[in-house]
This record gives sequence, structure tokens and C-alpha cells, in this order.
Amino acid sequence: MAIELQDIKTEEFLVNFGPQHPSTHGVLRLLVKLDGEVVNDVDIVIGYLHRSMERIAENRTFTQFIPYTDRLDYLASMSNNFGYVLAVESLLGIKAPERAEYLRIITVELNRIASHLFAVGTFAQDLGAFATPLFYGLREREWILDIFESICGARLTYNYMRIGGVSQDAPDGFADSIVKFLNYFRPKLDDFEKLVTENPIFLIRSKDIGILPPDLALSYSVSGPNLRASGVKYDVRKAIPYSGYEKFDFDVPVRERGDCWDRYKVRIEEMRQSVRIIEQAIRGLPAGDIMAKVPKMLKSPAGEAYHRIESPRGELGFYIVSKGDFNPYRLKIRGPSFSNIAVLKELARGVKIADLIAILGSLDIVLGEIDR
Amino acid sequence: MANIIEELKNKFSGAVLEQDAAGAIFVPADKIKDIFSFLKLSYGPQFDYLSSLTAVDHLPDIIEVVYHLYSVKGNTTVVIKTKLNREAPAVASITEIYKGADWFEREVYDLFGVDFTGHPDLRRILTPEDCEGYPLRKDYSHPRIMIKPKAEVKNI
Repeated sequence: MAIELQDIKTEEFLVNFGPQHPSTHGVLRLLVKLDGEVVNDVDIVIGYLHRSMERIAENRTFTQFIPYTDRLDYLASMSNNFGYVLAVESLLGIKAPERAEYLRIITVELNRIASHLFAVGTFAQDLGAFATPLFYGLREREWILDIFESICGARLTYNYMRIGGVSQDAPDGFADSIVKFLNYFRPKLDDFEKLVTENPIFLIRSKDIGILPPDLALSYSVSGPNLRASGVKYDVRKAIPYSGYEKFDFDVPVRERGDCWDRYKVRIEEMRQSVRIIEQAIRGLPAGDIMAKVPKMLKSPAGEAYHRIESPRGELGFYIVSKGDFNPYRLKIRGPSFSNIAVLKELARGVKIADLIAILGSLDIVLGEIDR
Repeated sequence: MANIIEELKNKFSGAVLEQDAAGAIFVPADKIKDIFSFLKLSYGPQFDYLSSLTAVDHLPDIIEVVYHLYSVKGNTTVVIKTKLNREAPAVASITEIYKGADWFEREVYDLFGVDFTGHPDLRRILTPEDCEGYPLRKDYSHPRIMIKPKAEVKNI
């Protein structure tokens, strides 16, 4: 006799994702309560990459901690360096010379392009476009990593910035290599978009999936492209300009719907805006020193400082409390992915499990700055 | 920033509010929820974005909880601090007002042992479940932590 659908008994099923899993973008553990293929609830377990960096900072001098900041958001090391040295400089009252500011902005914006290429590539991979968009993105990113290797010797964790400036000056031919890269990159980004953005399968998998309303995003302290895709125009580079960003002419892309496709599209547009900033910076790169006159052993006055920058993932903040010593008394690292991923619990209710992976990929998290 | 503390003093006339040199506003721990509701909903440029929530351990007897609030429309920041007793630090949770405070407060509980009353799910977030003690407190010690004694630093 035929079995009717209502005769089949179902019950809730707990699936454990990770911590080792190719789609969780790091050592993240998700406990998903499933009813068939629909997610009822998700419990997010982090802490598998907790290295107690904030405690380590209390036992290091200010300069000794800079390599540790590389390992926070390891896909955007320049931004981490940048946020930390700017926080220490505002605590100590040091200002970097103009050439150092320009070099910092050029490297940070190149790193933003590299990070976004990785993010959109892996997002497309999570949706099933298994290797092609990712490798197109990584091919362009290789060129950027070669430029970084020429200026500071490293491809992923740069340790490039210092308190008061940068550590190495631009090598010979730096400006030419950057202009060559930008001229190569612009049409390649259009090619990438032709492959992915209007692809029918990509649209079905990402349009109207994981819609994040703007007031929920603000309440959860979401920042970066995730917030701007929901319609809130908050970019720290424009709101609280730092280190010379006010001299450059660039737009902040904002979209309205807040679904996965919008978050992807905001990242693509941000890459175009980063290209504009780098062009202006490399044309106007002034001559001069790359380091301010600072003592070798930096002793800070008693006080505190909280400085925020716009990293590729959102608002990265460093809160330093000092009691007048060579080491910070307390260093708090406000990583954007920590708040960005907390909103997954709200977005995941009632979606299919394949959409859960799409939403997680579109949030673009890095476990290094979640766990610290 | 000057008028924030004036407005707070007007609204919460019973509470003792002070401002330190850096501009941070110290509020008593029992008024935290009321003050944050006021700042988010009623104050002029509404502080709708909780930028950071953390704690600082001041030996010998105070743990300070520090809140950084930002207003997207008004583009202003305010720093609110509250002093808690180190023996039994407890303060009201502001998770109902800012949902992002959920994980921030769990982290402060995990690393400092501050009890956030009214938090929906206060458990450890970064350290393993079987971790004992509160690692970021200044008196936390573990047999495997080796800290070199500070050498004499000469002025260079």
C-alpha cells in the first residue's frame, strides 16, 4: 500500500559541521538542528584558533607585537598592521611622514583587492562553481603577492608597518609595476564579472538568500561590506578619515537588498574603488622619509586610545590601555568577523542547509580575528 | 561630547557621573541598562552601534567594563565605563538593547569572570569548556606560562 507523506514520522536531527570542514572557512564549528533539509537553529562554536593574543600583548613591547597582528586576519595582514600602529601612534602622539602615509594606503588597498578576490572566489566555490572563479581570482592575487614580496619580502604576513612609518621603502620600479598591475587588472575584473555575476545558477543560489535587514545588522554590530549591502552607508574611511584618506577621491558602494548577491556585488565594486585610490596614490607619491623620529624603545604615557580602521571585513578596532610602560597594560582587538558571524544565528533560521553555506560564505569571515 | 554628560546628568539626576581626562563617562553599574536605553532610543543622535565591549583588570580591587558606542547618523563616539568590584563583578546585560553585546559579554565573562545578569546564554566562548579560572585577569597563573623577568632597560 502507498505510504502518504503525512504518515512518515520525522524528528529533529543534529548535524555537526567542523571544526574541520572545507566550507566553514577556517576552524569553525556549527551545530545545526535540521528538520529534513530546513535549518531550525544553528549554534556557532568558536575558539579553536584562540591563541590568547591579547594576553601575549601584555608581555611584549609595542613594536614586538606588530608581527602578531599579521596573524589576526591573515588574508589582510596589512590592515591589521595598519590598525595597530595607528592606535599606538594616537596613544603616543606620533605622526607618520607623508610618504609613509601614501605607502601605507597603497599597500592596504592592494591588500583589500587581494582579500576580496579570495572572498568572492571562495564564495563562488561554496555555491558549486568549484574551481574556475576561484582560480581566476587567485591568478590576479598572485600578482599582488609578488608586488608585496618586492616591497617587504613576504607574501602573506608582512610585518611591514612600524610605529611612526613603514619599515621598507618602495624598491626601484615600484610605481611602474603597480601601474602595470592596475592596467592588467581592470579588464580581468570585468572578465570575472562576466563569468559569475549574471550567471543564472549563481543568481538562483544567491539572490534573496540571507536577507539582512539594516536595523538587525546595526544591532548586531555588523560592519564592512555586509553592512553596506544592507543599505547603511558606514565606511570608517569616510566617516572618521585617518592617515590621509581624505585626500583621495573614491566612492563607497552601497546596495539595498542585503542578500548574498548584494554582499558579493559590494565587494566587486569595492575592488574597483580600491583601484581608483591606488592610482591616485601612486601618481602623487611624495618623496621624503618613511619613518618619523621615534626612540628605539617606545615608552608610552599613561592613558588609553581606541582607533578604528576599515579592514576588508569591516571595522577593525584596537583599544590600548597603558600605565606608562613599555608594554600595553591591556590590548583589546575588535575583530569585525567576531560580530559579523554572530548574525548567522538569525539569518539561518528556516533556510535550507545549502543556503546556510551560501550565507556563511557571503559573510566572509576569517577565524584568526574571531578567535585571536 | 560635553553635552552628552550634561544630558545624562539631567536625565539621571540621582546617579553619580564623572568624566575622566580622556572623555570617558563613568556610570554606576546599576544604571547601565537605563543609560544605554536612553542613549540608543531617546538621545538626539541615536547611538545605534555598539563598537566594542571589553573589560580592564585594575589591580588590586577594580575590574572596569568599557563600552564604546558610535552613532552612524551623528558620527559621534562615546565611551562609557563602569567600575566593578573584583571579588564578585556583576553588571546588567545589555543584550536586549544591542544584540551584538551577546558575544562581547560572553567573551568578557570567559576571560575576566564578570557576571552579566540577564544574559540569555552566558557560557565560555573562546576558551575550552573545561578551562578553570579567568585567563585575562592579572592574577591568573598556569604552570605552563613562563614569563621572563623584565630586564633592566637602558634609555637609548
